[in-house]
Amino acid sequence: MFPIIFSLILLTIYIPLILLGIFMPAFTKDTLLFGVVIPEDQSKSDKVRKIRRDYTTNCSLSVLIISIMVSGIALRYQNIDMLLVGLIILLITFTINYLYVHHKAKKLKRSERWTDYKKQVVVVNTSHSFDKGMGLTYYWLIPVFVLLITFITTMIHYSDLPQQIPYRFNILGDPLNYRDTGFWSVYLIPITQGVMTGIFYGIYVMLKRAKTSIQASRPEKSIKQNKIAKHYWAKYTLITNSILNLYLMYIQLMILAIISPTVTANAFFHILGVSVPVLGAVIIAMKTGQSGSRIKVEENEEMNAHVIDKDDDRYWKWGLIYYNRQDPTLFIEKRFGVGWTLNFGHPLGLIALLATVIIVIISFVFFM
Amino acid sequence: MLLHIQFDSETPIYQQVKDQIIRGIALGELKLGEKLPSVRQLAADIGINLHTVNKVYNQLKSEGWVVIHRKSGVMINPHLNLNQSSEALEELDDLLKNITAESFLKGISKDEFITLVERNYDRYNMRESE
Repeated sequence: MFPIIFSLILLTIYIPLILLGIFMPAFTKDTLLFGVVIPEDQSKSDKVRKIRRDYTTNCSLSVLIISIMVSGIALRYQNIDMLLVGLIILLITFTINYLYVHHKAKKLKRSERWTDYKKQVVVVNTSHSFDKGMGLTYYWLIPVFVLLITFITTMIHYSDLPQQIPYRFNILGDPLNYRDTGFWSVYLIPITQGVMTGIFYGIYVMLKRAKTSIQASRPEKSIKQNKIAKHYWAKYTLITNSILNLYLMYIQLMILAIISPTVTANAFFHILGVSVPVLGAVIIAMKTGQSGSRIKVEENEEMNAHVIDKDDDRYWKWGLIYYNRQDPTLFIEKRFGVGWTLNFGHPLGLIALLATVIIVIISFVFFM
Repeated sequence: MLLHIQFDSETPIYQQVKDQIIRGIALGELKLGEKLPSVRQLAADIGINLHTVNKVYNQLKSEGWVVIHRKSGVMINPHLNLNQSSEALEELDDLLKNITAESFLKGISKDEFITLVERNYDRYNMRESE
């Protein structure tokens, strides 16, 4: 069993993570260099290229050495936990590599005095047209529908349930453990579906409202790219939520003994439930890049070489954490990598951070 | 319409937003009756204080460029009054005194000045909303 789990973790977690980490600069837009705002026309200059190359070299070497060491130890002691500890070590290694080039980029920006020669501009679109022609709102009835079916079926069958119901199954669909029938044990899955649907819908609303990051040197092009990227992610949240709800419904139907699982159906739902969320995110991230910078759009817009995006580096601690009390934005696009983060200078951002920390601490205390 | 806000400019940000909205109306990039983003949305998009945007909208409202409804938000005044008022010409004369004097001292000839004014005027084309 150990070699199978070992190679599974290596293939599904280690290798994708390492590749994403090393090639991250390729997913980042031209006007950001490891979290530092730079002018677009400098993005291909030798000095900027050298910093990117340094990152790739350092990262590949250090990460490779550490992965080999970690998997060596894990194999030697037949210990899976070592691989999980290794993941944390890998993440720290990536962060150190990033911070090193982040400071280099900052230094380069200061010595080249880019902000002195270019106008710092923020471009804003007065018409918010996310929903025009592509509103997905009604499609959210699909995951809600799946959730309702699960809930109603559970309600109907509740009184017919035996003293104990299964709650874990092996790959063949045979029950592994049983527990006493009760409100929480029976309704756990519908409740989970409900909470999950709420969270995913929340992310969808956030996506719609999140600030469009318009590149000052090519506003029209970046607006189009940003919009397409947002639509990809909006569809991703909807599809992922629907599939996860469907997956949970399948498990609930097994628990209620309404369906007796076959190996094929089992494999199908497990693979669907795991691969769509993970692969979907990786594929979209690769396709769109940061704020859609990798999307090709037809727009013959000439680059405006006199401007640079607003220099708000000082609000981004290490280019990773955004803290700006003057900015009423709550959700903002990340500076390095693909995705969104919170403005921790916003009261709600701070509350969200504290809530996360508290939840992590509670779950540690609870499960240890 | 796209607003280009310059952060290291000597012109205050509220003035830039205000000027560009007025120019947007004249150029027809903002249609009469077109909705503008809410105070919160615009402040968040630019990344500035809510008060700054409030100031812009209040000034635009008191000068009659926009109307603010409690429910439907801010929109370009659908019934913009194009009739000239007596003060408008006086205010223009005041403004032009500064601008022409500076232009004169910078060596811009009267003809060049008038050509520039004409070129701007020719582009103005207010549009009604469909």
